[in-house]
Formats: sequence, C-alpha cells, structure tokens
Amino acid sequence: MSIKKASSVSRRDFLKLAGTSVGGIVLAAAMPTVAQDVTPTATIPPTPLVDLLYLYPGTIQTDRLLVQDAMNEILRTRINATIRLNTIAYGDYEQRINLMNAAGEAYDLAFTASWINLYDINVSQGNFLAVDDLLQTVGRDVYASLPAGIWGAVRVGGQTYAVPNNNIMAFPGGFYVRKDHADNYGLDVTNINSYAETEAFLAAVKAGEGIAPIAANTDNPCGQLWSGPTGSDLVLGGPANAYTIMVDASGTVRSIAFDDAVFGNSVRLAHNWYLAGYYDTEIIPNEEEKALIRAGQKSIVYNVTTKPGAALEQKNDWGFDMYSHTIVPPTLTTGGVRATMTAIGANTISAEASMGYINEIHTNVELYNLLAKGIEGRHWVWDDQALKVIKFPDGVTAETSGYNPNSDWEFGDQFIAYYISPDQVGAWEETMRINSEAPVSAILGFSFNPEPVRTEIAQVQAVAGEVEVPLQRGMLDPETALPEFQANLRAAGIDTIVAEMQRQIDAWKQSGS
Amino acid sequence: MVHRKFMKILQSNKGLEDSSKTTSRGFWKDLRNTFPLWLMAAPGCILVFIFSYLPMVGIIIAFKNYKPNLGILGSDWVGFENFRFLFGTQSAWRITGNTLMMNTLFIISTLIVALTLAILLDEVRDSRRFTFYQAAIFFPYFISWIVVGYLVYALLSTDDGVINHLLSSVGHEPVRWYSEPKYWPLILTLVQLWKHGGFWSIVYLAGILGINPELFESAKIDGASRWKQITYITLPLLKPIILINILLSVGRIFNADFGLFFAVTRNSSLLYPTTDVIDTFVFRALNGSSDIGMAAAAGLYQAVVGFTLVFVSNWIVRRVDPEMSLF
Amino acid sequence: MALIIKRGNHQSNEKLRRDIIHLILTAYSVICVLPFLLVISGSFSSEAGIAKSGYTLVPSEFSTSAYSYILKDPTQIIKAYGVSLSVTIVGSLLGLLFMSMLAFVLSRPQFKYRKALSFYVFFTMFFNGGLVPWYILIVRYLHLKDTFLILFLPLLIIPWYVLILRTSFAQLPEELLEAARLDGASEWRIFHQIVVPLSTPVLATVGLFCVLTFWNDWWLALLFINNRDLVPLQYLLHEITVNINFMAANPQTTGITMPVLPVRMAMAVLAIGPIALIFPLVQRYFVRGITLGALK
Repeated sequence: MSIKKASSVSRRDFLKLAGTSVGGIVLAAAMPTVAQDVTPTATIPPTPLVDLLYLYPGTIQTDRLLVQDAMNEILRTRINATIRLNTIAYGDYEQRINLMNAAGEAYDLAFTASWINLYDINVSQGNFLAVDDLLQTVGRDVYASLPAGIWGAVRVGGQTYAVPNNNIMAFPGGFYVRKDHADNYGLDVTNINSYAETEAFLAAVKAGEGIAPIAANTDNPCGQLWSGPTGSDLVLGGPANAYTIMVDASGTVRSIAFDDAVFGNSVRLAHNWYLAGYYDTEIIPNEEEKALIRAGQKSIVYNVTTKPGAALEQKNDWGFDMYSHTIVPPTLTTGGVRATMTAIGANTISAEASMGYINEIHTNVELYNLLAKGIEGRHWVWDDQALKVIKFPDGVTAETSGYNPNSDWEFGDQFIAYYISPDQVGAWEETMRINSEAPVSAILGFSFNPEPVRTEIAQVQAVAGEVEVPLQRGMLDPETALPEFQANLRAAGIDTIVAEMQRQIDAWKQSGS
Repeated sequence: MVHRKFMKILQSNKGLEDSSKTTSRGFWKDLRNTFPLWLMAAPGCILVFIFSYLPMVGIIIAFKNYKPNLGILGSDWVGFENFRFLFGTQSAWRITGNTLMMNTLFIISTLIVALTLAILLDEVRDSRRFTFYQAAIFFPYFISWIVVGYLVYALLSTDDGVINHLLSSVGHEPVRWYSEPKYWPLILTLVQLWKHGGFWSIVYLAGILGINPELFESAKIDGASRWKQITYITLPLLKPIILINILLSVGRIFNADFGLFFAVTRNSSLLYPTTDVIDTFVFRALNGSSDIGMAAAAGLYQAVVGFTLVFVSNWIVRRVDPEMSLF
Repeated sequence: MALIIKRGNHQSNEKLRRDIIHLILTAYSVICVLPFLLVISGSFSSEAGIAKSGYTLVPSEFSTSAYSYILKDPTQIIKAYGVSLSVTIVGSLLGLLFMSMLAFVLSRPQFKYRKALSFYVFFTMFFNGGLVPWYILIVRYLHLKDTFLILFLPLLIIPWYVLILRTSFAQLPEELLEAARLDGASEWRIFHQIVVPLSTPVLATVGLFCVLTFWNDWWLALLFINNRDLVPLQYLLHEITVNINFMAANPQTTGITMPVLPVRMAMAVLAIGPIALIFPLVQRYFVRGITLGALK
C-alpha cells in the first residue's frame, strides 16, 4: 500500500472499509456454494477488491455503468481491482479537480495534459505519484509499448509523474479544405507549401460561392497564418496567442510577436485577406462558426493538426469530404508528448492496482475498446473483423448510441483501437512512424517554472488578449496595430519573461538532462 | 393642506426607532425578553456563520502564494505581490473606470425603469392584464446571457443584423457594431435594463402594495390627482426600500455582471475600451493558470472598494436620516 | 370600486391616462416576450436553418433534433427534475422562513442589538474567504459532499433579501405591533399573526426570488455532486453548455455532433418551463394590503 496522508481519512475511505467488510462477509457466505459448482480458480480473490476512482473529462454517456461493469469483469481477474469511471463535463473538469486537489480529496487515476489539469502545475503541487519504480514492475508492458525517447519529456526533476497515452505526439501542421471546393476551384492540395499560396483559391471560392471561405475560431485556430519554424517548441502561450514565446532548434528564446519575417508577414497577409473578404466580418463564437461550417458556408481552415486520419475525423465534423495537407512537418515536443496522459493520484488507495490498470488499458485490446467504443453488439458490431473495422449496429447512430464518447485519445493506447471506418485502416502505423521519425525539440523535457514572473505573465496575457484575435485575423491595420502591440507587450514585461526563460533553459541544459 | 396631512401620517408610520439609548440593562438581564427574538434569529445567524464567516479565514490567501499541498497556513506570504497585475498595465485605469461608470449607469437606469414599471403596474385594475404584464416583463430574466448574446447579435450583426437592414433601407451606412466601442455603454445599459427591469419592478411593486390604502382614499377625497398621490404618498413611502437597494448596489459597484460583459459583447476585444471591466480582465489574465492567490487578490480588491463605498454612503445616509441606514 | 363621477372631461382624461398606461406596458411586454418567442422558435429549428436564415418567429427548418439530443436519456432528465423540484420546494420554504424570522428580529425597534446584527449579516455580502476555503470547509469538515443537504443549505440566507424583508417589516405601523405586545402576545405570535399576513406581497416577492435561486442553481451541483442521482436539472443543462463550448474550442474532440444553437435555445425553454407555472401561484399574493381597520 502506498503512503496516504494521515490526516485525510475521508468519508470515502470509511464507506469503502464498511463496504468491503460487508462484501467480505457476503463472499464468505457464498463460498461453499460456489466451490461446489465451479472448480475454484486462483483468480477468486480472497482479499477485498480495490476499487479505483478514475477521473477524466468527457461527455456523460448513458450506458457508462454497463461499460464499467464489463470492464470490471476483466479487471477483477487481471489485476484484482475494479474501477469507477467518473466522467466530468469537459468544461468543469479543470475547476473540479483543482478544488479536489486543494481540499486534499483522494482519487486514484486522473487525466492530465499540457493543456488541461496542467501537468507541471500538478507536479509542483505534489498531486501526482512518482511512478518510475512502478513502470519497471507492474507497468512493464506499458513502459515497453511507448517509444523510448519520449520519457525524457515526461520527467520533471528527474522523476516521472504520469504515463502518456499512446497517441500522436509529433503534430504536423497544415490546413483542411473541402474536397468539393478544392476540386471545383482548382486547388491542387499536394502542391501547396505555404498558406499564402492558397490565395487564388480563396478568391475563386469567394467569387463563385459568395461566402467568406476561411473558418476560424475565437481561440485556436483563430485564423492565424504563422507557424513556428520546424524544430521549435512553444513554451508559453499557444499556437494562436500573439505573444507566444518559443524556443527554436538552437535553444534561443523569443516571442513570436517580434519576429517580423514570420509574424509580421502573416499579419500583413491576413489583413489583405480580411479586406478582400475571405474572413468573417466579425469574430464569431465557436459554436456559431461550427454551425456555419456544417451549413456549407466555409471552405478551409488553417493551422490545424494534419495527422493521419484527420480528413476522416474532419468529415464527421464538417459533414463534407475533406482534404488534409501538411505544411509544417512535425516536431516531437514536450507539449506533444504531454498532450494526453494518465496520472496516479498521490493519495491513491493502491499504487500497484492503479499502475496495473494503466498497464492493462495500454495493452489489453478488449479492455481498451470497451472503454473507448463500448460493448460489442450493443454499441458496435464488426464491419470487417480481419482489418479490425467496426461500425454502429443497425438502427444506432452517433447521436442515439448509449455509449459513444469519441475520445479515444484520452485513454491508453490509441493504436490498439479498432478502426471506425475502412478509410482509417493504416492510420495507426503511419502515426507511430511519425512519432518515431520526427525531429526532437531542443528542450524536450524542460518545464518552465512560472513563479518568478507570475505577475508579468498575467499582465502579458491580459494585454495580448485585447488584440490577439483581431490582429491575427487581419481586422486591424498592421502598420499601426503591430508596433502598438509590441510596445504594450514590452510595457507588460515580456522581456522579463523571455530573459527568465532563457536563464532557466540554460541552467537546465547545464545540469545535463 | 393635503401635503401637511400626509406628512403627519407618514411621521407616525415611520420605521425604525433608535431605542438603543433608552435602556441600558445588561445582555443577560434582558435575555428573558430577548430570548424569543434570538431564537427566531438563530437559524439564519448560524447558517451565515457556517457558510460565510468560517471560510473567511481564506481572505489571507490574497496575500499568499497559495499552493494546495502547503495549505493555507503553509504557503508563502507575499504581501501585495498578488495585486500587482491589477495595476501594472495601462488597462488598470480603464477597467476600473468602465466598471464604475457602467455600474453607476445601471443603478440609476434600473431604478428609474423599475419604479416606473411598478407604478404603472399598480394602475392596472384588470387582474388578467395585470398578470400578463407582470409575467411578461419577467421573462427576460430567465434567458441566459449567452442566449441574449445570440439575440443581440441577430440585431447587431454587421451583415445580417436587423438594425443594419433598417439603416440601409433608409439610406444610412451600416454600422460595424462589434467593432465600435462607443455605442456599447448604451447598448449594454439597454440590454441590462431589459433583463433586470422587470425583476426589480416586482420588488417595488410589493412595496407599493404594502402601503395602507386608507392613505390613498383620504387623498382622493381631498381632491389630490393621481400624480400628486404618487409623488406625495407612493414615492416617499418607497424611499426606504429604494435607498436600501441603492446602498446595496453601490456595495456591488466594483463587481460587474460577467455574463453581460463577456457573452453579450461576444468577448470582442475591439470593444474593450468601453466594455472591459475588472471581472473580464481578471478572467483573461488568469486564464489557464490556477493561480488562486491572484484570483483571491482580485476578489479582495473588489470587496474592499465596494465595502468602503457602502460604508461611506451609509454614513452619509445616517447623517440625513438615521432610520434609513443599512446599519 | 365606484368611479368618482365628476365632470365629463375628467372621465375622458381618465380614459386617456389608462390607455397610455396600457400602451406603454403592452409595448414593454412585447419587447420582453418577443425575444423569448424567437428562442422557442429557435429551439424547434435545425442548426442549418438558423445558420442560414437567422432567428425567425417561425422556424425556417422545423426540427426537434435539439430536444431529442437533450432528452436522450429521459430517466436522467426525470430524476433531475425531481431533484430540482425537491430542492426548490424545501429550500424556498426553509429559506423564506429563516430569512423572514431573521428580518423580523432585525426590524424590532426594542431589540438593542439589531444594528450590530444587521452589520453581522450584511458584512458577508462583501467579504468572503473565496472558493477554496469554502470548498474545504464543506467537503473536509462538514462532510456534505454528495448529499441532498448541500444543494440548498448554502443558499438559504441571502443578505440582500433579508434586507428587503427587514425594510418592509419596519414600515408596518408600530402602534399595531405595540398594541399586540401590550396585550401579552409573544414575539412569535406577533410575527406570524400580524407581520406575516400584512406582508404578503413582499413575502411573495422574496419567495419567488428564492424559488428562482434554487431552481437556477447549478454551481453547488458542479462542485459537490458526483452521484448522478442527485444532479439537478440546471446542472445537466450546464454540462451540455460547457461541453458545447469545450468541443467547439478543442480540435481533439471533433466528431461529436450536436446541433449547438438550437440546443442552447431548447435549454432556455426547458429551464423556464416550471417557473412559468409558479407565476400564477405567486400572483395571488400580489394584492393590496389588508386595511388596518379590518385587523383592529
């Protein structure tokens, strides 16, 4: 049993103790009958089962308890434990788990990433268990299943605090475009090497369809036309923030806002395109933009992840056949490795059982697909068993299915998932190839400590938020707006942040990680 | 003559009398008399203690670099460091100014509209119409700010909005509403009024209905017009409740209704010069960082200013008329 | 009510006045109700219809997809309605009772500590310790997580309403209450036999506000409820909303189809439903005060 904080004997613990002792009595009473009917196997647990609490974001599925029971049948025999799936609404996940951590509430497994339930913040707060030893024992299989080079990206202070879910980790960047528009308006997708080259296409679509072809969100992608150079890693801010601080292949830290060749050009281009009417006149909230997309009012979206199989996923989203084309080759970055991970809570009931679960969900095909796809026959049936393609049962659709979380990327090893369409076959192999072949970021494994510049970060975020989206979408005149933006960033303290980051990186390199 | 008569009745109907000077027996001696009162106040006071006073210890989080694993007491003390980000940018003055100005506009306009509605409603004799009006003006309150945002967009969208269609039909240039900050104080005030006017009018209506009808009877007999009745009876008797609402609103003057300023403006950053308020600024600044200390500092800043303003206002009110003050 | 018949002029002035009042009120009511009609119409539209034609009084493309999406799990919805109803009823009754008792005490002139107690109550409107200590108190020390109690306890006393009640009670004629006291009536009797019947409009108002507070709350469920059987309706709707926002903003979650705009409208409609039924009940109390003569 792992260490539990002495002060936190919670109500849950009490109930569990009460429950398991009752369970034990019931089991004991049931034993004689069972022993007579069935050859007792070593798998009937003589000790009380461990019940693991697993927190993760998602949409609440109607049939989740059925799925949970089916999973537990497997887990009981394999790791002598059961799991409780606690799905929390996406938008509430961060808030809830932050509060649970603040109050010292215990959980066993939780979803963590570089973008939600932030990994490094959790580690600095001591919320996660260090799992290096467990990965060599109970977690042997999952450790072997992940590419060896990525573990450096997960380590903080020399220790590993979560297990990445096997997924795409090096993200290629590019655009999606509607197949029908591309074919009709002469866009030869394979010959495009930069966003600027799609200009003729945009003009043609606007003239022919009378729509503003570029789809953009209020956050990411917001229509921005710049990308970090290959090999660069974003350390503060994201692909759609105008102040984003990045580290390039040589290890130099800078903020994109001051890179005129990349950022300045992208903003000027966006301005021309805005004046030409390729962007929406106004910034439209995401769900309305989605509605426009599905109603056929959009053609193309820039600065998206063009992983293998993306076109198919986007087809579900857009409702039209899509092309997906890569412009920026993928780099293996810390953020990419940490994009989806499972961590063990520091107050877990049983570290072995928790790691045992992680081990299973990464390697046990049946278990993983229960969690990701549901129960065979009820939520999916075979389309082509040899190729491992599944489909919905007759009469069931994506909307009416009782279990369709559509979040494979959150769990275990996505590469053991069944394909949902014949077009997807082969995507896993290709993704694994990308992961292993992509160049590695110069600062893989580095975690920025924001403490010394907390105030500056808050100020920069506030200031940048005022103009980021309009600026990157061309709604403002770059001649005046860009210098003003740069001045405001300076006043908010961006140079301090950059200097601090450079200092930390140099120190990290020195310590030879 | 009418005026004097009503003043007398009003005097006798006055509210709180300050009797703290009359007796000076001790707490325990008085207990036999006051015990039933304490008993009645008990559930409320206990609940307030548990859910509001006990957690107040957390106020010090605003001065600490709070880390959950260290707990409230164990986290480092950082003095006013957490407050810096609220003042460090040029936006600081703007957000403060916007918050104050917009809330002041809201207080005044809501008061006028709600009072007017309440007085008008009181004039309605037909109970079916009364029910209809009263329910109707309440409806906007139920619509969430996000949906209100959609509806406002349907009106103000540059290309498809109703308003711009109307403007073009009379030959006027369409206006880019979501890019021009200067219209938004008015727009937001109108939207706020629409949503809350009916809600507050009910409070004032309840106040009007509580007025002794005999007062109106005698006024009518004396030949006072309806308008005179309203100005000499209704409004003065509503003064306490009006004043209370104003005082409390002043206390909240530093807190903006986040949904209004975020969802209705669709968080269009071009409008920030007039629509960026403290709450939206803090949201943007602390987005993605779970910096509890800084969030607490922002909240404390708002609370202190609000409380100070109420305290001062209450003191002014007390000088004018002690019965009407908050405390 | 007998019309006071004066000169003919006065009568037509009266009529003009009445008409103007009705005109203003009707116009205002239309402005208030019309958007809601748009919302209802939007909830019965398809998403494409709204995207192409905007919000119209009659749906351009009729569809119940929004409702079928939300009501996908009817048992869950019914349970949630049940939870919301019970919380609202219990919470509003208790809240109204406790708050009016407290307000009554604060309004008694002979109660020496009323100013101090008023300050005690209203201070909390401005200062609170923040989310984290409050959460820790409730979860760690009061052990109220995942209980029915937590869905209404923290909302029972709302200082603003207490103040409205206090102000209203304080305006009741003091001679009346004094007379009762001299007759030997206890404070409790004065409260429920005199003050309450005389204050029905304001009690109805605060009662209505309480109902709205409890019915609309999803925050408490968000923080404290894991047990899906204890989830109130508004929280269910809230979950849908945040998922919409999240999925629209995050590329990983593509492929989950939801007619977003109509769903938002439908949620607004579902949220109001029961409240609209409360109104007729509350209307009864919005009557002119009982004349004092009758009481004496």
